Amino acid sequence: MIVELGHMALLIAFSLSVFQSIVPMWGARTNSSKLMATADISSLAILGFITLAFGALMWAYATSDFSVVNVWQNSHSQMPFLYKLSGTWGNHEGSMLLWVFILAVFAAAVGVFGKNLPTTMRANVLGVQAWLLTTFLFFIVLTSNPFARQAPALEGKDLNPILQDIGLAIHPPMLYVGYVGFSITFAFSIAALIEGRIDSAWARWVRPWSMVAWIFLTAGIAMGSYWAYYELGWGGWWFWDPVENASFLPWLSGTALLHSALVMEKRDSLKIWTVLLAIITFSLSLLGTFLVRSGVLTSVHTFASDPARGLFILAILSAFVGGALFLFAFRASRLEQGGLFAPISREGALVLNNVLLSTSAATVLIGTLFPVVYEAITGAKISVGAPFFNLTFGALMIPLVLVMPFGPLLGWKRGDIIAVSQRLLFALFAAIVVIILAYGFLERGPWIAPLMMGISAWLIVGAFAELLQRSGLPKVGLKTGFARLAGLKRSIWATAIAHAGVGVTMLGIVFVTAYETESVAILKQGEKANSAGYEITFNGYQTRSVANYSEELVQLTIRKNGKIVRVGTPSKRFYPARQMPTSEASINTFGFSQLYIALGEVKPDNSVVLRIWWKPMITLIWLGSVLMVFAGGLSLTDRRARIGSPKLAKNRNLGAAPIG
Amino acid sequence: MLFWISSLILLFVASFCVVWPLVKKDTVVADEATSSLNFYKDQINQIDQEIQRQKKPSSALTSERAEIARRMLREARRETATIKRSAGGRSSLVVTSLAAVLGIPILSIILYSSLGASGQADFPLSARKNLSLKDQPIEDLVQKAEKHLINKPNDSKGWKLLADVYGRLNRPGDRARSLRQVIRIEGKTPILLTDLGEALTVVAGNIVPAEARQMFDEAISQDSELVKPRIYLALALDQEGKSQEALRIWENLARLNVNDQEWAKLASDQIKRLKQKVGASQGTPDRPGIEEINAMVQGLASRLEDEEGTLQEWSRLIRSYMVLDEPVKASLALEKARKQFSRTPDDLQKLNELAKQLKVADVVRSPQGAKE
Repeated sequence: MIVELGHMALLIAFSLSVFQSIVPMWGARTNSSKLMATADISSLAILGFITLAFGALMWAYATSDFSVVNVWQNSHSQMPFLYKLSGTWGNHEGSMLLWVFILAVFAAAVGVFGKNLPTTMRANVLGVQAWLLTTFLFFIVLTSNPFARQAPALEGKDLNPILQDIGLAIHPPMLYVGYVGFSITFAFSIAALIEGRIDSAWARWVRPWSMVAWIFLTAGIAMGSYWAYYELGWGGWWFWDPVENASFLPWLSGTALLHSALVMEKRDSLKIWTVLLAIITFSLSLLGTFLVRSGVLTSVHTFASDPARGLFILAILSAFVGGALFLFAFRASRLEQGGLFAPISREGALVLNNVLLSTSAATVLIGTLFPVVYEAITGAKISVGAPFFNLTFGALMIPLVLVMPFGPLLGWKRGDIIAVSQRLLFALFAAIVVIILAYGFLERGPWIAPLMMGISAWLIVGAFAELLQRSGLPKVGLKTGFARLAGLKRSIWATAIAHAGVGVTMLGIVFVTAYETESVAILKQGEKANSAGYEITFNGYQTRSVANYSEELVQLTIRKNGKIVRVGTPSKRFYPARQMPTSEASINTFGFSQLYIALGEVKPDNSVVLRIWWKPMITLIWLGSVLMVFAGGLSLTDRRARIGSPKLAKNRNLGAAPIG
Repeated sequence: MLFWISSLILLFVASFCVVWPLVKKDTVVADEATSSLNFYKDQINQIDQEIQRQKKPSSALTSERAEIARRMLREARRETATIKRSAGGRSSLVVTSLAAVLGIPILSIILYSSLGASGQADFPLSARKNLSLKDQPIEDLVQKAEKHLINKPNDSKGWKLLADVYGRLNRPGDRARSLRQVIRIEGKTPILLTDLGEALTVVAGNIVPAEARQMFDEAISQDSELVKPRIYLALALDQEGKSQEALRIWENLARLNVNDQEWAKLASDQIKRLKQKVGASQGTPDRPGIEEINAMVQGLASRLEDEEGTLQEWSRLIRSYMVLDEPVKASLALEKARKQFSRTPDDLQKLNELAKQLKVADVVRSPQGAKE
């Protein structure tokens, strides 16, 4: 009965969404406060019902109820409990339900936290959000119903083994919070276009939402990258895979949006551009959904390639993107233009940021879609690979990171580039030291690598220039300086940490790209292989049968200078229900670097083939992302971002106000 | 019933949620621009704090303050221009309330009645574990057991159980396969040999194949008191035309002190039948028995050569050839049968299964043959 009640709850949520799609916006048009007031409570009710539905499906997964087709197709009674639960969203239908659940969470959050929004704005935003809910619930009910039943089966077909992983339990929900979070900024944009008014207050309301979405998207992408790195057994951390690109695209435009909304909030300019960016960012999120689920592109992620579904999502995509852009074209000219600024100013720097980020987003988009379009026109298959992306994207990122430290130091309206350059001299100095050291100590590798390391250092050190400037360090003395540092607005800290995070990630990328080593060793029992000064001994292997898979496990000891430093057990697993093998690499972290050993095969003569990578400084890639995520969270705790009433916020700020 | 009561409660909650703001008496008329004004006030407050802090305010700050103040004025002007809000026209409220009270439940129920399975109960793992065996589909159980035995191939108890189940499901081929596993693990015991021989005999359409015959012999040599292998041995001898020997076995069997009328009747029937047969063939050597069978098979073969036979006839022919130890003829017959049933995949499938069971080899053609 629980399953059927979940199904009923899903359909009730759909009916409520239909109601919410019409009534509040009608209320906004006819100035009826009662009609508008339904939006707040109905968005909460929708969340409640979708939670029931999602909970029911999760229950079915947790109890291995194979009378539910979806559970039967994607679960196994012997799977570890955690994967039984995560199996709920490890498939098309369940993940769509999760998608809609998050959509409902955001809508309800606007209803709850958005009390300071103008009433019509809130009604319109929730109305647009309900359009999205209705459309996607309709899609689920019509083409991807997770509650379809069958005659009870005794055993399930198992979850795709590469998805049976802790990383996958967390990665998709995070990514979805990111994708779906941008639906709120989209809804705000549409509401603003419908009402025909937009001002800096709008940017203030939108920024926290887009920040939340951005934080989760960043974390989701980073986690997905780490998951691919350790689970797929190829040792790669980014493949420019179409679906990776699909998540990266909204990240690029979302990052641009965060920065342009800053200009809008502070200076009331770039308004039209910001609205357009908000629309584009969510459109790119939808595009990602479409690419993953339509079967247009094949990748490790395409777990649901069904042309009918693809067509449906394409229709949704065209309706929302096309409709939004049409509304934009129709209304944008009526929006008031904002304040003016000189080219060299904080605004100017942020515009440059936006130009570079959106150009790089466009580049990635072209690289991702070109093969699809080319195949549609000529019928021939081509692939646009890493070289294209590395060259074009890399070329666009270098100027971006070069000017990044300047931005926060420039004044609004008109900046003094020479003064700012002087303040950044110490960062330049740090960069030069790094370049010289790198050329001196790193003999191998491409000539450009030390230069890129210098740029990373410039970015990391330069990111803290604003903090130094504001605190007066080192001139005012350490005590006053640190007191001032502690009292600085959190958003300033956040900017510094986030920008430094970009530098840290970049440093990791440069290191691992230029100095990674890869070797293949065929070892008999007792034989040794060497990689980056580590000696790897093959001690033997065993086969064993665990829960829903069997595995071949190789035992290795890793020695440095004769001392045992790690014991590694790379393995190959085989999942009989799906007839699929997976590879579990042995990943050994030394400092920021990792020794990555994957088991190739066990030969008939009991020798093993090992692929051994030395990945210098690779963890910096993800540590940088962690810094960015932390910075995002920090900026959310800044009082200006808080959505609560200004009065309450003022009191808090007084405590932190710096003296002197 | 409980399901529909719960569903009605859910539907009621849903309708109530959206009707409540419509019918509730007191509605605060929201102030359109307050929030925007608050935002600007807050911004100005911030700048004021900054100015205080700096003592000697920079011109940038004062001009920023002025700019925000201008925006605030503009906003305030807009506020006064905003039309005052009403609770909403009566008619529109009535329509909306009706939509909420009726529309939401009706839409939900219509959708559910076409998509849902209201009668179907949950079927979690725990319920399956408590399920008595007879409630489980036997095929599922068998599949589960097979899966278990793939992982634990030395579980002889499991194989034995499975063999019994296959016996009851009338899948003699699978039964034989399971019994072979048991013998592999436990060694050759007379009972196991007998059971395997029996299964092989059933596979061959109740004609005792050479392999089974050996097994019955071996079983009897290990334990001459066993009844079952002797019955099958009698059957084998009878089929080989050695009715006299078969008769002797049955006469021995009949002497067993079994207090069972059915058994006594079976034994006496067999003895009677065999005595008649022996009497009819008195004076002729044993050889013609085989020739008789040969003639029957030949007849069947020539008939199938001329006209299209049924699947059963073809199966019988192939089986007979295998029993007569003529594998080449069996292969040729199999090929012909395949040709005839090439357009009915189900029959073809059955043929292939039969071939696998009986280990009929495919015809290997010479290159010239392929050209033809």
